[in-house]
Amino acid sequence: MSASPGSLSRRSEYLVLSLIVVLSLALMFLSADGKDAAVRALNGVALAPVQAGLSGVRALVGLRAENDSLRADLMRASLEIAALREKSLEAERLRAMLEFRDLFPLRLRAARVIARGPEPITSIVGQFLIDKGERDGVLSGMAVVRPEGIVGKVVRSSETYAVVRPLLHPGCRVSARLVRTRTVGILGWDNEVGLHLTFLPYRAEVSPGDEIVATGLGQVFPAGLPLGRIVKIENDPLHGTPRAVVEPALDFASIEEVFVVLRLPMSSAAARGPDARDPAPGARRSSAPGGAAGRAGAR
Amino acid sequence: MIRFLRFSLALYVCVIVQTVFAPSMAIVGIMPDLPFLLTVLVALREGAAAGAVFGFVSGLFVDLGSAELLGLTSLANAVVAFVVGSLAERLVREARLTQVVVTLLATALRDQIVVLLLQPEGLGGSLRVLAVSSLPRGIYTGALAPLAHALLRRFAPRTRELGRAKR
Repeated sequence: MSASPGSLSRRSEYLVLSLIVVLSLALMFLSADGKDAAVRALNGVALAPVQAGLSGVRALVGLRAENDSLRADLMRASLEIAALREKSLEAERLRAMLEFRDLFPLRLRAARVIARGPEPITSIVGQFLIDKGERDGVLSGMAVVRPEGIVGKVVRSSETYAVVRPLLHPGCRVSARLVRTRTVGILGWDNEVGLHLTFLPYRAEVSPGDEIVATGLGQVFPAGLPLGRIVKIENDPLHGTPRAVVEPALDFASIEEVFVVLRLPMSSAAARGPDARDPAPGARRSSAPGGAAGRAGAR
Repeated sequence: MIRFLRFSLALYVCVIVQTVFAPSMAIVGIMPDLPFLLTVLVALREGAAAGAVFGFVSGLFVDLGSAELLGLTSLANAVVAFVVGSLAERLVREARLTQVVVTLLATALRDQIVVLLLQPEGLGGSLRVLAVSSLPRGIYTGALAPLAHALLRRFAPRTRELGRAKR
């Protein structure tokens, strides 16, 4: 071997090449016959230990990147799971609403809550906007319901959206009936007392736990739909009659989808009364016609 | 002699880097062939005989780590390095373009020899290997040639280069 090109004669160079070719061919023949184990053992001595060590180092270096990548994957998966869970809950809610629509003989328009107004001083729940308006037949004064009960009523309607005033608002009053005793009163909101049932007869038989449903008088709210449950009986200092504090049937803070009752058929309201059928899943069947219902109605 | 020891050390490093880190250097699945790049550069610098010996050793390292016939890459590398070394005096060896083009052509030639020895597939098979494997790898390896050449000059300078550096 020389230090610079051309320092070996041409013949010597060819001789070197010939030797290498012969050596290579010999190795190939040995290898083909499987007699190369001794030579291949060199790999285990000269290369493999260093390769193994460096592979470990490379793996350590790559570990951080892999960790970051896995964290990103985990985050993506978590977001997907959250989105799927949300979809699943939404599907459940919509299924319940569909069942409700099928059971309830009314013309209903499904709507989504798209915005909530600020909570007013006089109430714990603000008015909210739904994504249906006059274009969809939603007009002011129409009732807004859910399978679990009455939500409120439309107080303003524009072309594409409407404002709903919830039950927990001083401006919303509903003619209500105790399911157990058929006693009728007016359900309303007061900032001091909360949701309460007033205008009950002096000797009304009312007790905590009694369920309250809409009477349907006033032709706004469908009869028989749940309004809430009595939690406490007090004496109304203004009228001297019993006053019942009511726990609402709905969790107003978590409402996302609602139905607007487009047209209340005469037969489903006062004329027929809530006894005709049990319209709402979960609502108890009424058993007797209303008594002093004439004075009560939705305002 | 020291220079050749340094070449051997460089070859060892190249083989290790090739076998351990080359997959991380892959671009669209194409990896450079570092031991062969060193072989070509040594052949360019040191001539045909030295190149052939170096090619034989570098090929042997590659063969040891592969499942192919022992001596196959040794033979191919040695022959190609001999050809490169024989032509070296007629080339402008310091020119980057020369280093890139020679590496590219040498890679293609080496692969053709291996294909011929390993699996005579005829012209179609050779052309397929050339297009799919040899040329992309040759381009990648050739692109690294100027950098590798500069490193080699610093790591194992020839006497003449040393003198020039001292002046």
